[in-house]
Amino acid sequence: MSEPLLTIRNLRASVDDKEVLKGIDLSVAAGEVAAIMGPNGSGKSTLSNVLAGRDGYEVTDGEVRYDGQDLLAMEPEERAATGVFMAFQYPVEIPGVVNATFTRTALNAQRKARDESAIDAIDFLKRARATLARLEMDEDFLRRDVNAGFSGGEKKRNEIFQMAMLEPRLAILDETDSGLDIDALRIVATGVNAMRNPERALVVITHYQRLLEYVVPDSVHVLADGRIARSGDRELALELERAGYAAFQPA
Amino acid sequence: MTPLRETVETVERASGEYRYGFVTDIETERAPTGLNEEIVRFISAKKEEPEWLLEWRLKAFRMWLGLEDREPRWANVHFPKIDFQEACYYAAPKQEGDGPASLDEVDPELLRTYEKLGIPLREQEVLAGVAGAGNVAVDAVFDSVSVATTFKDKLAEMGVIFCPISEAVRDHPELVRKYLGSVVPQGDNFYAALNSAVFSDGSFVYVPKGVQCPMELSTYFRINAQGTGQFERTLIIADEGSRVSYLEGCTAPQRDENQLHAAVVELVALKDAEIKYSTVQNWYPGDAEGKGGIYNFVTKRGACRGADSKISWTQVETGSAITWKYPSVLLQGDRSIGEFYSVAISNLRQQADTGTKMIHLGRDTRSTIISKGISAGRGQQTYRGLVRVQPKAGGARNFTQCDSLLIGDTCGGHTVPYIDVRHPGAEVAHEATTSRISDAQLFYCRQRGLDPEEAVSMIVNGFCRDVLQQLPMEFAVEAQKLLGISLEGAVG
Amino acid sequence: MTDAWLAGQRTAFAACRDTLPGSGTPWVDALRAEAFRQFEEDGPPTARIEEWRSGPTAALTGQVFAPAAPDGARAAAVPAPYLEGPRHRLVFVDGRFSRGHSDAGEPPKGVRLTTLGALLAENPQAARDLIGDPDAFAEERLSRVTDRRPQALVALNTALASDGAVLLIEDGVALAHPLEVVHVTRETEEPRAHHLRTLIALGAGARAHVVEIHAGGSAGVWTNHVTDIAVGAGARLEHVRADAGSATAVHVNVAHARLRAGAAYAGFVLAATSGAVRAETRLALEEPGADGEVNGVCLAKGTGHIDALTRLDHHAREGTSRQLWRGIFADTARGAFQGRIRVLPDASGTNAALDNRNLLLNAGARAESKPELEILTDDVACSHASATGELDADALFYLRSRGLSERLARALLMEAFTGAVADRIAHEGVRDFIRRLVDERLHALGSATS
Repeated sequence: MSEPLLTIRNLRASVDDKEVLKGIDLSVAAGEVAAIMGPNGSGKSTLSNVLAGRDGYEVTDGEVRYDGQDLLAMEPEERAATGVFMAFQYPVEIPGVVNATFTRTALNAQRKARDESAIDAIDFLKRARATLARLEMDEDFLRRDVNAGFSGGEKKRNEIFQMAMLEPRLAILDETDSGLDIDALRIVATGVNAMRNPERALVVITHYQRLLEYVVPDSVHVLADGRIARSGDRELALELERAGYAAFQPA
Repeated sequence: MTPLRETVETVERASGEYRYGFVTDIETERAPTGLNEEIVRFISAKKEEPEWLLEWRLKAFRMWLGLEDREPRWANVHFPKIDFQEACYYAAPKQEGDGPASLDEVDPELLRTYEKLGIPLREQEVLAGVAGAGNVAVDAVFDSVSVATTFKDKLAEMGVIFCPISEAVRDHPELVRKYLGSVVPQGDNFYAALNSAVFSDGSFVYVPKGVQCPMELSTYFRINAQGTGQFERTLIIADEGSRVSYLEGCTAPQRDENQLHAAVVELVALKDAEIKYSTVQNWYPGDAEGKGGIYNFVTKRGACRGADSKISWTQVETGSAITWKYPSVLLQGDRSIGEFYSVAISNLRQQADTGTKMIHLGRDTRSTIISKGISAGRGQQTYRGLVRVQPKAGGARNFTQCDSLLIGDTCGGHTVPYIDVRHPGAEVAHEATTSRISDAQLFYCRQRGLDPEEAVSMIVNGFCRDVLQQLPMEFAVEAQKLLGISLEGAVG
Repeated sequence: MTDAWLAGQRTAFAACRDTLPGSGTPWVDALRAEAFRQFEEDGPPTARIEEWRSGPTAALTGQVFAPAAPDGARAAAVPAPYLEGPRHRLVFVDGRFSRGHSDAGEPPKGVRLTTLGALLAENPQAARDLIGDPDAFAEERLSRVTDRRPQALVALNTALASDGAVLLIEDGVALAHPLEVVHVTRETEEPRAHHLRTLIALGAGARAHVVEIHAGGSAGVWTNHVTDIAVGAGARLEHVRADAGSATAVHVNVAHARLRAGAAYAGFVLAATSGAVRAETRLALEEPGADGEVNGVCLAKGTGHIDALTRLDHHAREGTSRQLWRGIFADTARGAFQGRIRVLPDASGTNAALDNRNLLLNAGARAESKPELEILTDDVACSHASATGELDADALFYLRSRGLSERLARALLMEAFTGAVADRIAHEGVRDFIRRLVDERLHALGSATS
């Protein structure tokens, strides 16, 4: 088997001098959907932020290989251009910037970095409309300011919309299911499932297993106290649903 | 490719350096350095002005002398005292005999300058442009003299007068005499008095009753000669029921010395008339150490004289070392409307003290103020505004929104509104915020693939959108690019 | 006029400098002389000074005030205590402490409750530590907390202060019951000035509630009252100032507070007049994590003139501040509010907000508002809002449709308008008192117009 798309070895990271990730080892292959589950404070969000390259997270040890490259050496926008996408737990509002402009600018910035030609406004619009329809989102989304005044569910769907438009190779979904009602969850899951293909890896970070009923993972990893405490298949998620995280909490 | 598009692309290629910093090598005719009655007479004689205008100038000059030591000091800008006797008050491209009879007689070197600036001076270029690229009549002012005005004939058919003010003095003295100084009197303030004494040229617009001006009118100002001030004077009159949109753009060469630009703009809107005045000001801002740059001390004021009239100011101020500018509206007519939309950037060591005055005099008058200030580098920026409701202005309404965005911890953003309400039936509301681009916004954009400068540019453009969308389309595109360029290097 | 006014101040200083507390103590004499020199240098307030552009300068400098005679304590009508429940009470009559009217109670250990006169007589060194070195006068006493230029009246107060309350609390000590300081001024035939100085210093972690009330007075009275405040690290002071007396006097009221790390100052001002009031609050949040709150209600009628000014300077990081001001102006009264938030370069993480609303009850009244932001670093969230207008027509109609008379509906809405500010007072007893006082003054305002 060829090298996994993402390989994390002994990753340690601190926030404000407090160690949060205490040696993570994890591999995700192209085509795989990996679920990372864990109790609050286990380091789930830290892991996604470190992978995306956010300031304020200090990596103290270990390495992250992505598609043969040293991911941690890259700027956030370089990671994006090589296909790393993060669906934010709390997508930020950018008043005055229209969603369509934002997404097209991002898409073309990534394409430019990959020496691909820019997508013109008309082609972009066609693709955007088709994507919106698939996500049961109103076209109005394109004309609204990025996340400004969006409900929690709208923000999450906007993340999925951007993911579909940007077509990443590695998508990290940080608690995308939190705060969604059942209808929104179903739509989001449909969007995520549509992204599954043999070239793409998805890392689904979640506290609850309910999203995994719709997005069935190939592997499930339990993150507890900054380490992968256990790995398994879908059965592990169901077990956690029944027994909770008590077994993984520090005594 | 349209000239405006070309400007934009020239700008796009810019690497953060000021791209309009070239100097045009043409012969100029200059007045002796210094300022006294003789210089005022010299300027008036050069322009072959009638006696009444000479007297008007001399009166202004005497008022200016009386205002000596009354330079405005309340603004939050700091610069060494200007020696007004060191400057030259008249510089004109040298011409043989009379002024140019047509564009063909204009010094080709000058035309090339305007080409570099991307100004569609030659009508055929505009006509050759893509449909919808703009139907813009241009008056170009080079140093102190208007060098060419386009589309005059077409406008004349509608009865619209668009010409250099010096020409208007000759051909339409009754209009000039009636309105010149009627909004900004000679002694209004130190710089207005100076301008009234020594103004050399500028644009004049008269739109007759009931006429919707068929195209945008535009003036491009350029300071070229060394050691000169520029003192243009613009007068726009919209007669009853008429409508006009006017654009103004400004550039200057890169020089180590500071140059003074003290313009006066007067707008008069009669009953049911509407004037929209847009400015993209990109004078040379000086370098990162604060050396050089234009002192932009400008008095702009409009009078909504008639009922149901409207005056709207939109400005994008990215240039100048120092800006002192308060485009204002006197709301005299009942139900008249005043608007002020402003984006101002202070980067490098730029200082801007800008805002507006809305003086509500008539009943049920309305005003809106939207100001977006951006400070970066070592820039200092102040919004200063006055909203006054006079005792007879029942039903007056004002809404003001002032937002400041700070980029970096060595700049400053200040908000100083003055609100004075003397009628119980008025509603005046002012809101202001100051914040920075959040780390979360920057990271979000970068995660989607934008580099930090693109991210800042996008967030800033979003911050300014309410103002930018007030600009005519072509200007809006140019203004957006300018914002990005003006902030280059602002993100560490 | 200002020449005569200045001459009057010189006469006053010459006449009473030997009778003022601390006279004969070299540093006090030097301080007063230096302060007077400073006052003369700065000159009286005029509308040409930006901070005084909307100030009651005419009322202030339009009459020549003589210093109050030092025999005031007798034969004055002193009002009964304002605060219900346990309290400490100090009463000053015509600028001098009145022992007979006061009831200091028994402050807990670690609390010193005295007067400026007593402190200067008994322990001039302690007073010096509090008031400051005369050589450093301009630098320390004025410039650091305030802009020096417009502070002529503070300098004059330093030169002429005849007395005032002094509250000193040691580290970690809480003054459980509020301190009520009452300044009674008698009616006067000829214009008289009273210069009062309050000193409040809270040690680290100390707590106190102080209410300063002006009572009595008449046209021709000018009170120039300065309150100097130092709030130690983690300490908390609630400071209420209120006009409860004649509404025709000229009243200048200045509070300066310096806040150490994590200190909190919560101020409230009630200015109610048909005379002239200038109320200043200047806060310096000098160390990280300080919190300032400055609220006020301004009610003017007749030819009354109120000029409220706030200056909140954030010097250090992570400071927070809030300001809530409401003004109602009737007849031909004029009300001005100038509020400034200044964030200095080291004050990253500052969060500051200001909100000013004014109502004009009839034609002839005037409201001015100048909210100001001066921000010198980027990591901040600052805002201000200002609105001037009439009572909300929809709300009025709603109340009338429920059967309230227009008069009652208006009164109710005005009560709500000002009540929101008064309700922010933390101490229940003080809050009740202020709400009653505001309602009383509102009633006077309402009857002025109907």
